[in-house]
Amino acid sequence: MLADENLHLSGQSVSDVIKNIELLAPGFSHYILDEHGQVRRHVVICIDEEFIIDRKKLSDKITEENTLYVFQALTGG
Amino acid sequence: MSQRILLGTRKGTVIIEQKDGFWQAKPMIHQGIPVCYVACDKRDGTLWASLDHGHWGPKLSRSKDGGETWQDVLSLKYPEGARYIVKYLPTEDFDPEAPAKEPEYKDATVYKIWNLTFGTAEQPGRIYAGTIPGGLFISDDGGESWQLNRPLWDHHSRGGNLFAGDATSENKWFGTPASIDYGVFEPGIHSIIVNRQNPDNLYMAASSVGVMQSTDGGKSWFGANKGMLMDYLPNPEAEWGHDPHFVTACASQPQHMWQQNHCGIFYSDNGAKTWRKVSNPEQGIHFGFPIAADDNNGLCAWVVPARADSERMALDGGLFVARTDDGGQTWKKFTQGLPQQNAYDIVYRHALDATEDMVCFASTTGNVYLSEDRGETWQCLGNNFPPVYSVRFA
Repeated sequence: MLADENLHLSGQSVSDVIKNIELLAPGFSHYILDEHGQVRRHVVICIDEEFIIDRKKLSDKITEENTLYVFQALTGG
Repeated sequence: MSQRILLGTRKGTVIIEQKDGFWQAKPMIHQGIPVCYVACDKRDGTLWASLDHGHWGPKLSRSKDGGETWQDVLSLKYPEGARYIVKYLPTEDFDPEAPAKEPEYKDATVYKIWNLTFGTAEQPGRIYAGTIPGGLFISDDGGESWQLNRPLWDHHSRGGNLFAGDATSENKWFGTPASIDYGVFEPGIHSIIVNRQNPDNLYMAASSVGVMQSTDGGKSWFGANKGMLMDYLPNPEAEWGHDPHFVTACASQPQHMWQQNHCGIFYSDNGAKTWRKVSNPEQGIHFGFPIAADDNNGLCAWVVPARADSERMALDGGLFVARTDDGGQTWKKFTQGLPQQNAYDIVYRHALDATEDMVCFASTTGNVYLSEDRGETWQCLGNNFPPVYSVRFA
């Protein structure tokens, strides 16, 4: 439902932003986070061009000027 | 007679249908996604697939229209506080008799939903799911919500109630190599059996653990491994550490149970009170992964043997299926219609099924074979499927 859309969302941390996406698309976070809210092993999240540091609590700070990316991590062959 | 075969493969779900006497595979479903198990809940016809997403986490997928449309089911999760004691893959210097180190704890997350088993007609909506890292989940509403079975999770053989605090007993559960794909070495529940005559009588089997039984609908569990023999630990009759590859039972005579174990084929005629080894290594009928029980005759089962644990391949470059009709006292080998040259296929634990007179198996080499005469002659349904993880009649 949100495929290929650029979303403009508020939030002070990566965790806030993902919670806001979850409100728009219930179930979304289960695809990128496990049941403890940690980033799944083969998923990466970037703020602009930098990987986030806190993959457990998603506490990395973000502003409305930043862009958040979620990628399938480069794994396997 | 069943007219559909469901395959879970490395690249998606395949439904093979019989039409006008011919078996034809429909276009791949869940394309590109590893699907480790697919089965039909015959109570209402719902199809279930266990998706092993490489990136997006394990998910169940469900179809209520015969496979035309599917919906992901996201509700199978470990509850907060579910912890387990970490195991590590034994290295060459592993000493099984060395004193146990201080346990290391980890929050549980679902790595793989390895197996689904459906409840009886008297229990509409009851579904069981076995996972890596060793959790049994139960749904009573057709999969809308799932509960971790705490009596099994908190069992003393796993260290006790780790929700409440640190371990109160030693963890006797080892890991399965099938978990190494996820970067861990944890146990997995691959077999769940519901006694159709008494649904409170449950069994589950986990690799490098053994068989466990509940006689009160899952409120309590105990080991059911008497008579089992290991050949990789100092005490072959130890209570824990057995390695069933798959365990099943005769649907209409459920006291007749069958086990393809790492250490041979075992049979019980008393509901797993005692087991006895019924392998015949001289015939090459010993090691393997799958086993299928006849629906009606408790003395009858099929296996697709492999060479050995150290050589996981077909014997002598040819495939055969073996059947016993006398509780494992004797075995008949069948090769007609199966390749006898250049065949090195291995058949995984969920990739053999039998119903009525039909038997089907498929291999990691992508070959699918069907017998409609109780395993005696075979036809090939296709040679170029992806590696096959599961085969189930629907």
